[in-house]
Amino acid sequence: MDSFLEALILTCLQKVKGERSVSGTYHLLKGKKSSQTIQDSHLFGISRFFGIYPVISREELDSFIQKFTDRGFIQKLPNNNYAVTGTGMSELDDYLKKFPIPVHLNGWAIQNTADVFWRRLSLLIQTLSHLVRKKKGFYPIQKDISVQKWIKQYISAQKLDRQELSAAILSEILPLLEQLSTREREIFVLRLSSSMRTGHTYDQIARMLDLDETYVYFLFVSVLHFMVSRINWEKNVHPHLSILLEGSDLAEKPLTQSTHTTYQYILNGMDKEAVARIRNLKVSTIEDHIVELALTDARFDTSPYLNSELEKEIASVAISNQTRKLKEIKEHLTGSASYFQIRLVLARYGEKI
Amino acid sequence: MNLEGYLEKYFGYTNFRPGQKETIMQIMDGKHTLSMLPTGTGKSLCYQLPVYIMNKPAVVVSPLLSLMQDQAEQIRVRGEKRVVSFNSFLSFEEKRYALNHLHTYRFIFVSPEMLNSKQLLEGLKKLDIGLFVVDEAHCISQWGYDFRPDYLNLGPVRKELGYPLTLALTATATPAVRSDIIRELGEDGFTEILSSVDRSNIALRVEKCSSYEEKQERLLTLVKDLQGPGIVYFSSKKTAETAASLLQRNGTGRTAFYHGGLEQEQRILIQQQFIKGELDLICATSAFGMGINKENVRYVIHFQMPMQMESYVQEIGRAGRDGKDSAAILLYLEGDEGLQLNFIENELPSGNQIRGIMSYLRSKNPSSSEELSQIMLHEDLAGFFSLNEIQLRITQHLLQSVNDMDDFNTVQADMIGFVEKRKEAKIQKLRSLLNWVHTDTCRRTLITRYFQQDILQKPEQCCDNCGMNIGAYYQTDMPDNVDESRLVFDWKEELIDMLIPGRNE
Ligand SMILES: Nc1ncnc2c1ncn2[C@@H]1O[C@H](COP(=O)(O)OP(=O)(O)OP(=O)(O)O)[C@@H](O)[C@H]1O
Ligand SMILES: [Mg+2]
Ligand SMILES: [Zn+2]
Repeated sequence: MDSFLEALILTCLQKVKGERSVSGTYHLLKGKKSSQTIQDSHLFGISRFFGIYPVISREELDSFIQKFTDRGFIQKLPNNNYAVTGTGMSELDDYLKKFPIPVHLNGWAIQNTADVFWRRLSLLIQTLSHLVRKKKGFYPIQKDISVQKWIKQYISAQKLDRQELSAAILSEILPLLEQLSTREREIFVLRLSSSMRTGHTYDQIARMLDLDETYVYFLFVSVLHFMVSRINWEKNVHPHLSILLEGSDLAEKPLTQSTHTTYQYILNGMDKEAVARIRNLKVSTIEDHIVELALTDARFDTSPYLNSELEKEIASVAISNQTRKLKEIKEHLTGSASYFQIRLVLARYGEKI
Repeated sequence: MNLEGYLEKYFGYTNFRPGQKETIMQIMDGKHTLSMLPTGTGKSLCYQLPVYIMNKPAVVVSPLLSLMQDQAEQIRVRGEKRVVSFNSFLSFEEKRYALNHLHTYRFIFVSPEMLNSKQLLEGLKKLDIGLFVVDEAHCISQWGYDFRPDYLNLGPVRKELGYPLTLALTATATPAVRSDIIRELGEDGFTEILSSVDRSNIALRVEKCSSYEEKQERLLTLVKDLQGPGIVYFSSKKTAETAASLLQRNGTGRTAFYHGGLEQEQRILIQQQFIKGELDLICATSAFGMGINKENVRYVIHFQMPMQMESYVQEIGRAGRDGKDSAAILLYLEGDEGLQLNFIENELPSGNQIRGIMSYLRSKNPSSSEELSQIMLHEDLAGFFSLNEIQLRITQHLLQSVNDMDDFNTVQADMIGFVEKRKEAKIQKLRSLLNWVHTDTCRRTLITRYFQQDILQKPEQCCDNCGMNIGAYYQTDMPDNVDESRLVFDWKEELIDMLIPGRNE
C-alpha cells in the first residue's frame, strides 16, 4: 500500500464484497447524488466516505485497480467486479493499524457543509488576522467572490469589534481542537493562512510531519467534519462559529419542507408519478420540487428525467441563443422536450446562460 | 495637472517607465494604439491611468481566467473597489447583479468568450466606454505563439460597440503579428508604440549538458549557488514534480512545484507563498507566471527549451521586474527539441482526423451553415475522432468558415492546408529558437533581431557569448540550511498569534 488513498479504496472494495462495480466506488468518493449511490453507501456501511474525495478521476481509480490486481490484492469475479483477496486483506489490516481511518469522517452527513465551512473559516481567520493588526490590502485565500462577500457581511454584522470577534472565534476553536490528536491539531493550524504566513499545502504538511499526502488530506477533512458536527450539536456553545454553517448544508438555500419530503422519496428510488400518488399531490408539484432540487444542489442526479443527449441539446440551444425562455428554447429543439425537462436543464446550466 | 502629476497622485510613482508615457499620450489624444512594451514593465498602468484621468470606464479583455483574476485583484488591493470580472465562473445571480450595476464600475474585465453573451454586449453598449483594452493582444494572431480563436471575435465586438478608443497591449509580437493584430481589430488606423523587447537587466546564458543526469546535477548546483528567488520551467507536470522532490531531498529547503493539475486552493497557496517570500524556488510548467507580479525574481532557469522565442522571452521576463540584475539560464541537452516537436504534432488535428470529421459531417447532410454548427454542438466530435481540447477548438474554428454546403471538399483541402502551414510555421519557430541555442554570437542581439529590432546598448552582463560572469549571480552568504521537517511548531501558540496581536510583536 503506497498511500492512504489506496487503503481507503481497498476498504471500499472490501465493504461492497464484489457486489458492486468499481464505478460504484468512484461515484461514492465523488459524491454523486443518485439514489443508487446513496442507497448503496448506506447498504454497505460506507456512507461516511460519501463525497470525501471529489478530485479523483476515473483514470486515477483505474490505475489503482490495475495496481491492486498486479499485486494480487484483488481478484476479478465472473460478474466483472472485484473481490479483495487474503493478501489484500492482510496488507490492508497492516496498513490501517499504522494509519487508521480518521474517526470523524462523515461524508454523507457533513461533506458539503464542511466544504463551505472551511472556505468561510479560512477566509475569516485570514481577514481577522489582518484587521486586528490594521493591515490593509491582502490577497484573499479564497477567490470565490460570493465567499468574500459573505465574510464581509458576516464581520460587519457582528456586534463585537474586530479584536473581540477574533478573541471570540479563538475561544470557540481552541476547545474544539483540544479534543483532537496533536497530529490533527497541527494539520489544521498549518492549513490556515494569516497575516504572518500563508497556509501550507497538503504536500508541504506531509513532508513536515513525515506522512503521506493523502493521509494528511483525510485527517484534515476529518477535523472539519468533527468541528462541524460539534458546532451543530451545541450551537449555543459556538455562537460565532455556528453562523458559518448557515445555509451551507446540502442546499445553498434551505429546501422547503415539502421538497425535502419529496427528496427522501426520490432518494429511495421512486419515480415522480409514484411520489405524486403517495403524497397525494399533482405531478407538476413534484416536478417543481425536482427543479428546486436541481437548482439548489449541483450534484442532484437528473438522469432519471432526461437523457444526456436531450440535456446537451437543450443546453446548447439555450447557450447559443442566450435565452432562458422556455417557449423559445422549445421552438429551437429538433426533437421534443417537456417544459419540465427544459426547466431542469436551465436549473443545471443556469450559470452558463 | 501633467501626466507625471497624475502618476504620482494615483499610483505614487515618480517616473514613467519607457513607453508608458508615450502610450498614454496617444490614448489621451484619442488615438487607437498598439503598444508593445517589454515584459513586466507596466503595461497595465497604460490603461489604468487614463481611466482615472478621463473618468470613464475601461473594458479589459484578458485571455486567461487566472490572469484576469490576478489583475482584478491587484487593482482591488490598491484600494480600488469599482472592479468586476465577467467570466464563466460567475454564478447566475452574480452575473445578473453585475449586469445591473455595469455603470458603477471603472474596470470591467471580460473573457473573450463572455463577449458572445448578448446581454453583456447590450449592457456594454449603453456605457460610455473610455477605453477598450486588449491585453496579450498577440493572442488574436493565428501566427502568434498563443493563438486563441475566441480573440477573433474582438474585431466584430469593437464594431458593435461603435469602435471605442482601443489599446492593444503585448510584450512579444513580431511585425507580422502586429499587423495581424491591427487588421483583426478593425484596421481603423492604429498608432504603434514600440519599445525594445530587450530586458537589459536580464543576463542570458545557455549551458549544454551531455546527459540527463548531468543536467539534473547542473540544476541542483545552480539552484544551490544562485541568489533566489527563482523559477525553474519544465515542459511537463511530471518532470516539474520529480525535480522538486529531487531538489527538496538535496537540501534546497523552500521549494515547491506548481502546475495546472493542482487543485485550486493548493495552487493559490503556492502562488501566495512565493509572492510573499515564503518560498525561494518554484518548479513549474508554463502555467505558472502569467499575472503573477513578483518584483524580485532573481533567476529563471529552463530545464527544457520552450517552443519558440516568444514564450522564452515571456517566461524569462518574470525575472528582474524591480530592474535589478537577474539571470536567465537555459539548460540544453541534444534532442530536447524532440519534446516540442511532439507537442506541435499533437496540438493540431491530423490530416486523417480532418478527413474523418469532414466525411462524417458530410454524411449528416447539413443544408445550411447554421445546421452545420448545430451538428457540431451536439455531436461529440472530440470523442469520435479523439481530438484533444486544442485540436477541437481549432477544428471548430476552421469549420466556421464553411458557408456554402457545396464546397465541403475545398474546405477540407483548406483545413488540411491550414494545418500543414501552421505546423510548418511552428517548426520554423522552433528551429529559430534552436539556432539561438546553438549560436556563438550575441544572444541579446539575436532576440531583438527576431522581433526585427535593434539593440540600443549591450549591458555589461550581456550573455554567455559576449562574456558574462555567472558568479555575480551567486548568493553572497550561504544561508544555514533550515530543515523544515525538524522545525518545532506549537499549534496553539501559532493559532493564538494569528488572532491576538501583540504577544510576540
Ligand atoms: N512607472 C512605474 N514606476 C514603478 N513601478 C511601476 C511603474 N509602472 C508599473 N510599475 C509596476 O510594475 C509592475 C508590473 O506591471 P504590469 O503587471 O502592468 O506589467 P506588464 O507589462 O503587464 O507585465 P506582463 O508582461 O507580465 O504582462 C507592477 O508591480 C507595477 O505596479
Ligand atoms: Mg500584463
Ligand atoms: Zn551578448
